[in-house]
Amino acid sequence: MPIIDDKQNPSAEWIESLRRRFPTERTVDETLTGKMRARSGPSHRPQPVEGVRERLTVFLRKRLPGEFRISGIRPLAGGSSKEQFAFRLEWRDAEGTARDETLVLRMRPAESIVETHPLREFQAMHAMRAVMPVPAVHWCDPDGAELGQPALIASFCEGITRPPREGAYTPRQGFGPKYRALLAPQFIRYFAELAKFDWRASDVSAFDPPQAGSNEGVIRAINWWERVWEEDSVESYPLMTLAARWLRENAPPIDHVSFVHRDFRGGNFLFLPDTGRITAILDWELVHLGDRHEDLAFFFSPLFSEKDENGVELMGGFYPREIFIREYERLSGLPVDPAKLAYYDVFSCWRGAINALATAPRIMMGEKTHQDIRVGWIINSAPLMLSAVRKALQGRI
Amino acid sequence: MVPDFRLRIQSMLRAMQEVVIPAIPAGERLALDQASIVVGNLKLMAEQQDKLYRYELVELREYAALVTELIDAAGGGASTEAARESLRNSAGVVTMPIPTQPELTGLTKAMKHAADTLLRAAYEDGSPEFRRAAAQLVMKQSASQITRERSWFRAAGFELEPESLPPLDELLA
Repeated sequence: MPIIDDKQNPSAEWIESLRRRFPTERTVDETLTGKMRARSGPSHRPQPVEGVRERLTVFLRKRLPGEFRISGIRPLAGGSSKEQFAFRLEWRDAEGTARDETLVLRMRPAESIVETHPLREFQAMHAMRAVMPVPAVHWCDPDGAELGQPALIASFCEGITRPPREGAYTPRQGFGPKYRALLAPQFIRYFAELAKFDWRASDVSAFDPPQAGSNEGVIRAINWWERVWEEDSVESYPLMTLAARWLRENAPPIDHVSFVHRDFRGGNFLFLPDTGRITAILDWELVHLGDRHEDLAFFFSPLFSEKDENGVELMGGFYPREIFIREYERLSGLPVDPAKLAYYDVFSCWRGAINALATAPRIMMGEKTHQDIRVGWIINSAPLMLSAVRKALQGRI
Repeated sequence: MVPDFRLRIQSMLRAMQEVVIPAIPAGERLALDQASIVVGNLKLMAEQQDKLYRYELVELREYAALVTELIDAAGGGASTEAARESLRNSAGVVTMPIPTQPELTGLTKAMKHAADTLLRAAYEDGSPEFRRAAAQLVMKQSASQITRERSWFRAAGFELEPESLPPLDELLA
């Protein structure tokens, strides 16, 4: 039974006032407005496989030139934000060649731990395939008009996200010395590629690219997340208000506009267990065009660091911080500014705390996702993120 | 109360670990993943269940102190003065009779909102002195709140050095 408070039944006036107070990118505004307008609607209910098959069939009939066959639809585990189904598709392409591929249908639930626009994800994934392994994206239903919920369809990639282990989810992957040695050099190379990739020739129509040399994009990003805090928070937390004010007053200009993944870390890529080859970088839903320091700061957050066999702290479980920065600068050809990194230490953990402290309990209250229990587990990470926010603010307030 | 929370949680853990999880086929990864998180949540609840009321009391006391200090420090324009006046009554909560758990939760929530309202007013039109003082007071209070929250959620496994956190009993004394 959903738990009701005022924010579960938002008025049209309140939604409009939030839009005015927090102007942000067009597709972000569209997504957040849609979320709020649908909030008082029904809870999420598991999608029967037959219903998924029927919608997929109608959807693909409009897009494939000839006969096709869908089989083996199954829900996928992992991930907290999107409901995913794998399925086999046999079809003939426009040249008449027989194709047989496993695909993934990635759908937004009624509300998600991160409410995002699938066209942004689709465009970024398509662009970044030029420089790193990313699942091929085939089709997108941005507003869910045909598939029931906003969704995209991508190729299924083989691989695992972490060595097998028991226990509840944590964002630490526990790669250990063997996989660390295999994965770290690939991972940092792709991290650097992300920053230096020239996106200007790509289709980025779902984004509002910020100007280099200006902080307008940073302010828009603060507006995005402060709006989410206002929409979702279940109680006040003065430190979050303080952090938002500080971020607004100290927003630095972006020197070089990059795709920023916002969740680039272990757990969000697949690798083959026998060779350690990374087969796919995943979870592009939060992507925007912004400052590479944001990705670095989020990756450096205490949530993802691990200790090696000698007790040395490794960022994201891979390298000590200074070594990571040095190698990243070498590979990307872009400098890492300590002052900007310190700014994004606050920004990234503040944003992470919004997801954990506001959105997670909010969507559980409304029973809005297929992963309520997993989303609820993320709330337990909030104190660590808040601790990092406070630590990064100390001496700067 | 029999069975108390501890016993009920213990029985739920046994059922999950000894019956439910072993019965899930290895290929059902979504079900296995969620079952593992259920076990994690139950372990966390087993550790927290007899401390919740004390936890809320400590938090209420702390926020009442923060609001009192913010009111004392407040100065500036109309928004700040209006917020200060409306919050004067909030400080009286420390002398109220012992509330029920839902009342206590509600009071703490109201106190958090009160502190946040005054902080926002400080940034809107508070005097520079008040703005600085408000920021410092919030930083100071958040230190103990965050330490307490980290210790409260320690069993969830997100901490890199959980042993470095003070015991919950010490923080709730």
